[in-house]
Amino acid sequence: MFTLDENLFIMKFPKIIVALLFAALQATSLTAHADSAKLKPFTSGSYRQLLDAYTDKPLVLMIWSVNCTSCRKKMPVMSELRQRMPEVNLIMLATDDASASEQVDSILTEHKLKQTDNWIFADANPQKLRYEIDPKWYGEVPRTYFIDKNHQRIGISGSIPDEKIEAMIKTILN
Amino acid sequence: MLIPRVLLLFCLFGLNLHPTFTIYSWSNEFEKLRPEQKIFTAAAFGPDGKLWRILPSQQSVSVDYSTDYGKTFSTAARIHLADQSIHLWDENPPSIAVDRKGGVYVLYFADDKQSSTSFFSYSGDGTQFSTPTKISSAADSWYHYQTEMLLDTGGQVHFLWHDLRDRIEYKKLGGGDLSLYYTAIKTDTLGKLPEDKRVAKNICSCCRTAMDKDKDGSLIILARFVYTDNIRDHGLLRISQNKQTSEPWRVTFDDWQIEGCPAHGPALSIGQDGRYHITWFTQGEKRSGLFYASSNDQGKHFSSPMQIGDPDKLPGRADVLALNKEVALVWKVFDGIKTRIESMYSMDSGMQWSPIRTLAESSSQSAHPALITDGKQIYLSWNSLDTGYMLVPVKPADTQ
Repeated sequence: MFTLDENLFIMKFPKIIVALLFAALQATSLTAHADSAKLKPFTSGSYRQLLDAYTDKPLVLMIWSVNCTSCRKKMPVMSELRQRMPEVNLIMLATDDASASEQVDSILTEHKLKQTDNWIFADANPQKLRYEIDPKWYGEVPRTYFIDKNHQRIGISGSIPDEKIEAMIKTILN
Repeated sequence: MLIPRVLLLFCLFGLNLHPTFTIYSWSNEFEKLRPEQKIFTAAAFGPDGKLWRILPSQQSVSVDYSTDYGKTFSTAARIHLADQSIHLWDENPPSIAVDRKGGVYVLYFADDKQSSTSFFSYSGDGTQFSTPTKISSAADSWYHYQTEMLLDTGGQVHFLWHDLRDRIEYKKLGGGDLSLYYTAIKTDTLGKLPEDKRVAKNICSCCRTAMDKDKDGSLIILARFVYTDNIRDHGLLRISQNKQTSEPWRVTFDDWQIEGCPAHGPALSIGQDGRYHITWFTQGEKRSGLFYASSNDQGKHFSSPMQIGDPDKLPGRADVLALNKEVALVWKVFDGIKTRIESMYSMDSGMQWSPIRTLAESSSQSAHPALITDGKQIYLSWNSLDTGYMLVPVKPADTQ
């Protein structure tokens, strides 16, 4: 079992040190990491929570992996779209295990995608996580869901031509 | 990002919290984030019916054996004394093989100069193992993975892997695929591996490749290729006994067009009668799901694809194994809560099949199912976090 939860701090350190660390982390985040969003652990129930967090809002969920060349090739387009269409709620979910967090983080930074809502698989049974997202999805990546404000969705496996991405986004925004 | 932040913290604030100890603790915590390596076991029978098994942990790989068909196991022998960061996953499992004299051959993956580098080690009797050697000649400079190992009856160990070393060539072609590399070594002259060579191009990078020996002694390889317009269907190729490599030829025609990673490789077994048995997964234009087919003309033509499993339960990760005229199929299904291993059995080289049977189930993370044989029966070899290792005979009890 593994977790990215900051409870790890609490297990290892006395409370006073934990408090100090958190205080310092806050300061660090505000200065050195002003532009970095936190990579969130995607666990059982996260998909539901994610939809709840975007009630009545359209969203694009791009599921990717660090070893997936086709996924990485698509990142500049996603980044560009995000800047050009700020009304799009873009969520990036990496299916790598949590030990790849650093790599995931650096790829997102490289493609200026750190400001998006970023998640990484963090459950010992990834099959369960995939099933909660979509019981018909076998795990191939990239897998992109275009979800309208009523949370009706279309899921597409594989790299999608740029013009189709834009057309799909326009559909869910309407 | 937790760890870089903490390290950064020490740099910025110079906190005097015995940094050496603290950083060490943190790197341990980080290591714990890697999924449990122990479920990625592999097993093979020796000539005396002993079941040999690879037992990975986060830092090392050991080998143990069972003389009672997996009920109890011996004390494990560690392969490499120095710790390594073991790096296996379901499409990148280790391999083990045992020769006629009881020599044990092991392939596993550990992070080295490149992530998940493949290592080979052997032992004359399974007690003491040779210092593991890197299999790829470019292991230090190019990422490679999904290495398969096959020990044949002629005393050769074959290695086949996915290699990124031709990346520049693929960039010109558009990218997304890679090359298959191959080498082999004779069991009576074990030592430095002969120079490896490329045997196929345009292989789908994330789907593991399968291989088996034909009865004419040649090595047959089944892989997911990337064809024109990103069609990811399967092809065969042949490496003859004098190491001549054929051009690959396409054998599945589902037209699965995807610029992406299916992460779902095929399986191949060639029976003593020379019939090729294959299984594969596709979500193609013409066909979608998990399929089986066989060929009695060395892969030139295959039978009509037979769909495997309940399409509503995500059937996948099939393995196939032929033993004389008997053929076993196993695959994974998932209903949202439980993973089950289902099976079908044929007594006539894949012409007719038994009804589906469930062989094992788990509510936790599990490896892909694998089929092994002691020459008398076919067994499912499977591991999951909640059940532990299982060896289950596949043949239905009422089959004659």
